[in-house]
Amino acid sequence: MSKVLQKLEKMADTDCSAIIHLKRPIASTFAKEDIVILKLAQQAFSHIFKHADKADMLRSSDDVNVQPYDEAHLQLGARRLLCFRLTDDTFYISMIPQSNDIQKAQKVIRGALSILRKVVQKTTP
Amino acid sequence: MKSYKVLFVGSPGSGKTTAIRTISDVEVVDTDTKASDSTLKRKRTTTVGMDYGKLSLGEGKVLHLYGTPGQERFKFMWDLMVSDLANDASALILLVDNTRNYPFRDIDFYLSEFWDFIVQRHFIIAVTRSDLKNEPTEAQYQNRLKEKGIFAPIIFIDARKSMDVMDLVMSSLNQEDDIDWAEVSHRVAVTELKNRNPDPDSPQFEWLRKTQDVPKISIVEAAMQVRGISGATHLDNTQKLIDTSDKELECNDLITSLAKLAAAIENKAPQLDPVRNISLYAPKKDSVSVFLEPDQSLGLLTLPSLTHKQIRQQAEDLLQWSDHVESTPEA
Repeated sequence: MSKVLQKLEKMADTDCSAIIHLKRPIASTFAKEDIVILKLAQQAFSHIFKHADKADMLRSSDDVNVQPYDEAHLQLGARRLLCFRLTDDTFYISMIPQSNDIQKAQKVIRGALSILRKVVQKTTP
Repeated sequence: MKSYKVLFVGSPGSGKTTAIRTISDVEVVDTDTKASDSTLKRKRTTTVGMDYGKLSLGEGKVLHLYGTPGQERFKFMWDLMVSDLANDASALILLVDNTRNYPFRDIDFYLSEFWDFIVQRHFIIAVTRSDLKNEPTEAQYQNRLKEKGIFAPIIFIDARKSMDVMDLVMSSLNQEDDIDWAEVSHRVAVTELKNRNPDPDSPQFEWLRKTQDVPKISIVEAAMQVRGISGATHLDNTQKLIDTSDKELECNDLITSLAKLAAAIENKAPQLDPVRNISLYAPKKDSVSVFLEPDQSLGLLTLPSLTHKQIRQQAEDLLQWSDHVESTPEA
């Protein structure tokens, strides 16, 4: 799975990435010293999506077709963490310098979401 | 004919166009157009291409004055100017607007954007609008540069005064000892006096009228005039509401929650860099972004067609111009 992550990092021009399932990384290219950032990011993104879902529920009690937010970003200083919700319990998180082309990274990763979901489906029970 | 060039850069509204206009012998070629972004908070028009002026230095010598547009979205013009039009410039003059909330951040930004250009040329920092806000002081600017290991003259100027702008020019070309600066300064001063027209309705003051009497609006009102922004909420340093485009705005609670979450992250992991932004996206759905400063936050609801870069540029300028913050130049 790491090979898939590395290939995607190269295409999206991101530094490193990870797939988090049930709060644990099932694949990661984060360096040892950045694990603390990954852990914090995972917790932060869980809260961010929880807040977003709550807002959606309040907004659209009549509209059952409302689309939930599936992408969240967290900028820590000059580093930006991008998180894509693959399933309710699974996130793809990548880290990119703020000075890089964020839009390109968003497009590339979004384009690869179906592949990532398939990979996750195969490897998780 | 010997020619010299100087390039003026700086944030929107820092006085680049005014400085060039103040000393140019010729009518300045400007590309000012009606502001349609966050710049509305400060002025009615903004440079979208470049400014060009010319000053004769006597004995066939001439100084070409180039000014870049301030907004980062015109970065392609910056690249064009440093690689072509002003590639052989003797100096880069960075104008820093002292009334912006975080002027040191402007210095850091332009240093990083123009670093390759600066290292090979004279670099001068010109601080403008210090008559409206006297902090940061010269000593604070000097300390900041010292911390960064940069040695550059810091000159406080009024971009409307020709002698102030001449100080910058003389500093830029101080290695040129065959220019009669006394003669050039005298001529510029006399021209300024001659052109002085007591009638405020005269065409001479048309440019001034464009920048004067800009209605005082909040950053939320300014944000709502930007194409693509459908909601804005301004919070203070305790995440309490200062202003919002709509009290019933559905994402107000979400914006407040995200700003509180950012504060919680900073408390939990003080060793990490502070949270500057949290954003939420989904295809075909308005994006929610919260931009955070130590003393304020701005939440924006934007159309999905707006890119993160476009949203960030607007938010950063709006936060720089907010009236609701303590003076925090260190930020």
